[in-house]
Amino acid sequence: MRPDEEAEFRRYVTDRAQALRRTAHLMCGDWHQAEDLVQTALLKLYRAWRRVEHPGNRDAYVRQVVVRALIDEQRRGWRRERPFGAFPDNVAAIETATSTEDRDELLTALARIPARQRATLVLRFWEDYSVEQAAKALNCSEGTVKSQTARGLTALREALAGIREPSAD
Amino acid sequence: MEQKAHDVFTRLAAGEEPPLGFTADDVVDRGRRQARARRAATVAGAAAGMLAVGAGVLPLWAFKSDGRPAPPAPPGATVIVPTKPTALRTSSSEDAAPDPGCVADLGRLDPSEGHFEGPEKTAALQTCRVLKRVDAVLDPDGKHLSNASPGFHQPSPIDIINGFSSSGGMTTFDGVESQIAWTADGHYPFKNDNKPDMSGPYVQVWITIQAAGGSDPYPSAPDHQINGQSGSTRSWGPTAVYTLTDGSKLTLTREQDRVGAAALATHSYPSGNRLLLYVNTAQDAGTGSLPFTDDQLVAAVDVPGIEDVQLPIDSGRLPASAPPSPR
Repeated sequence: MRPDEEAEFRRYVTDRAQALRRTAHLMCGDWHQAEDLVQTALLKLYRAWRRVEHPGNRDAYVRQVVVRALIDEQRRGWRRERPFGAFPDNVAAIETATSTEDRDELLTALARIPARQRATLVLRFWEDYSVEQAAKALNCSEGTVKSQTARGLTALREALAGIREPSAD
Repeated sequence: MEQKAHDVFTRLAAGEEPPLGFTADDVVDRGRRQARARRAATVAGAAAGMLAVGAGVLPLWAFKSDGRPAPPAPPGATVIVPTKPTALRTSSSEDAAPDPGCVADLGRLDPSEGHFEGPEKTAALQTCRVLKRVDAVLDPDGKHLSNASPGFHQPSPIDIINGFSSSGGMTTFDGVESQIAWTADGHYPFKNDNKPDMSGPYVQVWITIQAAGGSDPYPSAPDHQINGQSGSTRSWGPTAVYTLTDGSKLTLTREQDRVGAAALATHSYPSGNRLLLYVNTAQDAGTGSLPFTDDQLVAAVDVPGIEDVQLPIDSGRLPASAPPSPR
């Protein structure tokens, strides 16, 4: 990489690493794992810098690497999708959940959503990806994104139903 | 619910964050080192490999066939083994009826959860009996293998995960992956929340049934684990290859170092379908070795019936079901 390219890469990492790690954290729920995923993705970006010329594509590239690495880790890392029973609808529980304790509960609830579905939800409703963009990031069809989104939302509703009413801040 | 999802992520993201543990300079430094290492490996790789073999310093793995040790081969080499291990069975047609245990397992799943309906259910039943046969070879007494899914002690239809994807108006069945564990006492080493619940070292056992054209689902390098972290980056040992009379190919490769071991056995059928068995040690500390013999691993993937398994269409394609539209 030329010095001017490296300088631009440094600026990109400095500007974007925190936000990318935040997205990774939403997907995996663990700051250490999120940091590892983002570092891995940034290293790949370093190698692919010239191929990812358009600045607008860089975030997408890193998120794509993060989400695929995360799903791959879930498959290889002995974490397991588990079916869970139906809970009463209680989505209002999230309305005021902002304390650290409440956030921990939300993270625990999110951990019950299968990795691919959770990643799909984060891309769609946190990163505001379109179905097409999410399909590209997840390396699947738009139909799969739609079905994963629907299943993920159902799983989220059920997972949130299991948490207690939040405490007021 | 979509707005609620956004709210959940917004609230979570608003929390305190630990400081970043790396800087842009760190990433650049690592990127440079990796680039240098790749360049060095490209230049020196072939010559280094030949020197190592000539000096006899690399661990060699002798594949045993019919009790006779095969000539040693360097890691990564391919060894054509003309004779079958004694435990190897001849692939032939067998009763294609669903295994009663699989049917029972499937019946225990709650249909209200939306699992295993339509083609997924069909494929799960068809592949489950193959999983059970692998299980029977690896654990003939039924004392050591346990399933990640609570209440399912052996591979079952519930192991069908990530097997379906849709593209071009078709739903493609890519395969089944079963995750089970071998322990000395048969106790599954994790609790329902995935937290460790170990009484000793364990071995991860991954069984994959894959329709033709699927990509390799397992790491290209052995990957046993220590304390939950990858414990090896060494290359595989030599690969033993059997060719059966029906044109199927069985391969087996393994790796053992001072802290752990891994092995990969594959049965590639003439149709392109594959049965893969990946096992690796995982423990908190100490030396890990696999509890399976070479013959056992090969025999485990010499499962007749994958040709009989009617992946809904030969290529593994299923009619697509209309996915629910989220928006």
